[in-house]
Amino acid sequence: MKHRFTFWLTYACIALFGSLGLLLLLFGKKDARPSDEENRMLAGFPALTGESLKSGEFMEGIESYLSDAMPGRGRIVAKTASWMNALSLDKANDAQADADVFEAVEQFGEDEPDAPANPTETPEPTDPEPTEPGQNEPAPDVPEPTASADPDAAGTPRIPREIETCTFRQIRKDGTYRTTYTFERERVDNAIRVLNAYRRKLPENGHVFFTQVPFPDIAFTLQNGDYVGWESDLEAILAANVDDGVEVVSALDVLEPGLLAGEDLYFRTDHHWKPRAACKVAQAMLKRIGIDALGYDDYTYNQNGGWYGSRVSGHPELKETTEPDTVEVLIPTLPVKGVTIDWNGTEKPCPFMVTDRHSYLAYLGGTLGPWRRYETGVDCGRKALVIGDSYICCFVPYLAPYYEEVHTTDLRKDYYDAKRAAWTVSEYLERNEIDDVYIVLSTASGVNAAYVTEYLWKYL
Amino acid sequence: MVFSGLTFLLLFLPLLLLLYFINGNVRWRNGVLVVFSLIFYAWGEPVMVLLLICSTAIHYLLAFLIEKAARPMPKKLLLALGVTVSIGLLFWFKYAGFLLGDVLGIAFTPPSLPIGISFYTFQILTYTIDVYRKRVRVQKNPFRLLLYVSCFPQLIAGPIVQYADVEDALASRKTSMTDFGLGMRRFFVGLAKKVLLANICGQALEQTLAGGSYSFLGAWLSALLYTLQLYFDFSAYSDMAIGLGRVLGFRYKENFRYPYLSCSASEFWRRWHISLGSFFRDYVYIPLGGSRKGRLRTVLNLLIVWSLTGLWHGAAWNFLVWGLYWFALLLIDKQFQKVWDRFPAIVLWLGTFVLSMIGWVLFYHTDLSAGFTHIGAMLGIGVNGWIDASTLSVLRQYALYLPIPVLCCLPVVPFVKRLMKNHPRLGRILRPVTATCAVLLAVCSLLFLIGQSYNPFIYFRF
Repeated sequence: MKHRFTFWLTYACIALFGSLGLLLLLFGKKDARPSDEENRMLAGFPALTGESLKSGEFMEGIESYLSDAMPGRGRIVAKTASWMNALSLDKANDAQADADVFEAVEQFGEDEPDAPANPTETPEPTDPEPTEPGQNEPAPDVPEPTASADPDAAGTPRIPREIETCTFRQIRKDGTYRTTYTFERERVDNAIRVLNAYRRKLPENGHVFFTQVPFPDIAFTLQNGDYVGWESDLEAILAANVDDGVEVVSALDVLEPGLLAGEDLYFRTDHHWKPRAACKVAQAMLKRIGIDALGYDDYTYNQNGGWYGSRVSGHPELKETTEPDTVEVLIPTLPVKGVTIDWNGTEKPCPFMVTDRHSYLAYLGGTLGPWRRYETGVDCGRKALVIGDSYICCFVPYLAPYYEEVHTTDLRKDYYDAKRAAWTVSEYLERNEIDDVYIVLSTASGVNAAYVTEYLWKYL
Repeated sequence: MVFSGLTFLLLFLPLLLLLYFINGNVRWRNGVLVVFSLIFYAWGEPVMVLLLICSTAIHYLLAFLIEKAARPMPKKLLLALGVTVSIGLLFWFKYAGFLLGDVLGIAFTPPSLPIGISFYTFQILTYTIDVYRKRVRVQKNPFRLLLYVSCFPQLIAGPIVQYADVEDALASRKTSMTDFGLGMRRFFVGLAKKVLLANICGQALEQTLAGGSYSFLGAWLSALLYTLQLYFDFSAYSDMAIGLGRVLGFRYKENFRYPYLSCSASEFWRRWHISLGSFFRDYVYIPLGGSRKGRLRTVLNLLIVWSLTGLWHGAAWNFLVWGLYWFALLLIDKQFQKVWDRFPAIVLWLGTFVLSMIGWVLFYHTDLSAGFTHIGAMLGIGVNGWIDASTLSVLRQYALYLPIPVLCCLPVVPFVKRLMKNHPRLGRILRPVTATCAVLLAVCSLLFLIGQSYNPFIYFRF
């Protein structure tokens, strides 16, 4: 027989696959558990019920389980990422140092800030200047918004006709600037409409807060001397055109002085902000409704050192040249009770602060969902819903002292499934008598991304 | 369930092969295959599997009655009933939303589309029509007919297997170590095409298109990436189906023959999705009269076939326009055949390739205006500069990767096969090498499935 070798080899391969599957079924870790490397919960074995079979939840669960329970998964993730990296002109070390790493992803709306498969793969443009007309012009003043909002016209463009785009610019020492993000008029209009739509779902005295937080790579450029300041007209345009009760807070303005002063606002080795930054933004938001919130230093923290986040965990070689991060985990002043609320409304306890954890999962235990509710023990009669990406995990603890309940949800595509959800966001707001909505997004999920252009609308 | 899922690779396939080969009896094997095929389908569509079974039962009964009917008129009526039921179901699930919502403007929530309905509807129609034409015998065993319709390798994304091609294999088929080895090798190569080529091209495409506006190079790069992604995605599925079919004792016809080497529109469609082209030729174009009823009628027949080809891919205007686009190209191709013959092959190839890319742009954008904007940008209309940051970023990120899928569009495998055939000694050396490469590709694909999560199958929606 000519193909005996082919037969035995392919037979051995499929037998190996089958054995691996069997071993995973028999001995794989059956419980969901957090992964520090990937910054997310790894899937456990799905519940086998008639309902889960009918809805397809079991089948999806098995696929996730087989992937997540795979022995050596962390290494496989790193290895496949490094293979792709090897075929790229951008290498890990370039990316580590360069502020432009996340630029392309953020600017064009990638909306997956949680555990990118290999964040350092995203290349920096070699010389992006030629692609952005007018970048080296002197920094202009932020244009004064002039339009008046029409609260009833949800579909009518609201921003002044003469404004084609909004931009986020990084200012150089010589006064020239570099346009880092461009927000087309259509996207800005959409953001205004979506914020107003959320506002209309709240009681009369309710508020919608919105901010988008820059990624660390951009933030670090203020600290390493590449740039001396930021400038963005987006927030001003948004603020001038949204309805009453919508508060647009510029995280850029809030964080810029601290960054210039050398404050530790972002993890060096991860793609998230630190509690100090989250606290500053929460303070700024609460101030808009007359609450003089506690500052970062008014709380006590556990200092859990030795953590390497997503920017380094996929590149073991970087560990030799990079200092690990310290995770400051707030110790709650009141006993907060947290529950996750399942697609069908089933509640299960979940952590608020995992005080001994050495990773970003210390904050709220990572992204669990689809819904979470934290009963803070504060008797103030107000409830908030925080909508966002993984940046909310660090942010929510600083809202807790000012609300009776803080609810959270993450509408990104891998975290939210409208088909399975028992309620729309509107229904959830009504059902839980939410007063205020906080929309806190990293720029990767911001105005240019599907989160704002699609998910916030679709799931409302 | 999908071939490139861990559930399939680690659980379903090994268990199926174990049970299938444990007993050589064809009844046992058919039984195992029917049960596993229904599980395979129900894994993604737990409820809609009943539709597939009902549809098969109806055609089983109708074909039986067609054969029993003595006179032509009842036969015709029964055939018409079968076609109406199947096309009616397909229409309801796939086109009702489009017709009522998009065309007539009536508010209507379309039902969810059962996976693979376009494929299995056509397959079962080939059975009933061929029984009517007396091209095949009526299948008395309902489980064999169910096996034909539901046989998992080709169930949800083709190739469209005509009943006549597998009629004998349903009753008795041989398997061998050679067929197992070569079938699995083909399956592994298909898996690698899907995971290592189509998925990564898809990722790059998403990154390129994420900006929402096009630079000139960005428009071309995204068109090229989709052209590659679609080919590798769909041909990979066909490779896997053909490979698995061979392992199980079925011989399915080729569905792709290096379409991007074509030098004309007609050649392209002789190389791309061959089983769909064959279906429309045998069951629509020829029954309409083909090219035998005059020039005008031929054009009309082609128009009908290409409108249907477009709509078969999806209920949206862009698919219809895409079908008509190919209709126009084929007409021009035929009309000016003598003119084209004067051009060098490289010019014809380049022209055909670019035209197919433009066609895929129409195919990609379900919003027709977005498709035209993209094509406009490819022609330099309304572009946002020559190159934008995301295009530059994708080019840098995939700089060393991009030549790989481009090279894989070339007939490397047939070349190696020819080499092995013409030089037997070299063949003896290369045979284990090709098998080892296929297995290594399978292992790499498995690692990518675990390590990287982007894994959509484009042709599922059809």
